[in-house]
Amino acid sequence: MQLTATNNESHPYPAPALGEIGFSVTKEKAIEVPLAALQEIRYPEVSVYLSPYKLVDELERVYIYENPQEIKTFLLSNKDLILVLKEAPDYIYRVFGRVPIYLELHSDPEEDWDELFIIIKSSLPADEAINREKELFDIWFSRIVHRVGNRLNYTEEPL
Amino acid sequence: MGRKYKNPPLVEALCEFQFIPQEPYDLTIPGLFYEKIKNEFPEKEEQAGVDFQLQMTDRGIEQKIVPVPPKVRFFKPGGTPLVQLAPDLLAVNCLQPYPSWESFKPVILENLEVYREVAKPKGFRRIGLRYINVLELNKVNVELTDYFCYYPSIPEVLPQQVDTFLSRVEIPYEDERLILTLGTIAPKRPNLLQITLDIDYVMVTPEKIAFDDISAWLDKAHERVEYAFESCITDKARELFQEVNNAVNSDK
Repeated sequence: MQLTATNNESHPYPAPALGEIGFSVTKEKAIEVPLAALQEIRYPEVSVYLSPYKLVDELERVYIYENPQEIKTFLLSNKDLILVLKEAPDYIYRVFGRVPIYLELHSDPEEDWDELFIIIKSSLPADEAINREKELFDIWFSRIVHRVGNRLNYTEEPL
Repeated sequence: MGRKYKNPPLVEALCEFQFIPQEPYDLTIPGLFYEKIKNEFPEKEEQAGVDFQLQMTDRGIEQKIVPVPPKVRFFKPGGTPLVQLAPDLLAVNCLQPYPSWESFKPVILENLEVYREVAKPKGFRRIGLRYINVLELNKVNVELTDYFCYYPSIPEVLPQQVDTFLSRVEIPYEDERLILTLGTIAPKRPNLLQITLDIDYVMVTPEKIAFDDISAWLDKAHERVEYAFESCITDKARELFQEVNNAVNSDK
């Protein structure tokens, strides 16, 4: 089997889908193991090295990555943002309700500049959306802006 | 005695103890634990107290954000070794550079002893000794069989080129298990292949190992992990890791 680097972007330890069945096969017998049990075995991840990779994959279950490869590479170089992104949906859902959230990486190689944007898609009227953006700033972003600097931002866009 | 490498692929060694759950979890345990180890592990860090969980709802499976007790890390200046605490869990990790089993094992035992004093756990639910290796290759194409003796096999009638994979087997060893996981991880940069060989030797029978027997169990686990590592790699991989041909200290 030949391994190629093209589009090599996924993680080796994806969390299994709920309800799937895994099989542990021995010479004597095949035992059906509910994958929830495997999840139990795997979590919480205590490897410091692999944790960021797993978290980046977990985030992909909540956020829609616009440019997955670039976002993953960026997050692995800015590991402190991973935990910020893990907490963010809780605040976003509180303010905007259960809306789709995207991640989009904007880059300018000439300026050596990268900024990750959380794009909150909502169907709110423009005025209301702006108010909610401000509310989100007050309850969440204002507390972390000093830590994330100009590496992370958020904006609301019409659905 | 194992082999020694100048450029070993080992990125992390860790020992994870899961204890018989104690309800309710005593939130003072991390503070009491830190009091006893702070001279050796002065730095501390708290991990986020939220987790994503899949839950079945009326509308199908939904991703829920749920609060969980935070995981706390205590580490030496420089970041390694480090100790992690979470409810009914103690982990001792060693990142690069890995010193030797003879140095790492006492760190595990000392911190376990402190945890026993502070948390008074009833017994072990699960113990794992885990060595995580990462092979980094600046290549676009790699023949896995050049480097590994353990790899997924694809039927010949299917295309033989893959860009990501994950292979995991659990091998029974008496009442215990050797878990081998081989797979790709997201590359740090384009045209880089990163392959993990994650070797985890685990005891999963609650209270099978008594606290007093843990030292011997760790030695056995280490021996099996080391044997598994050497069994999973080829001579070409050994060349890459630059085997040192002296018999002085032969830890992985």
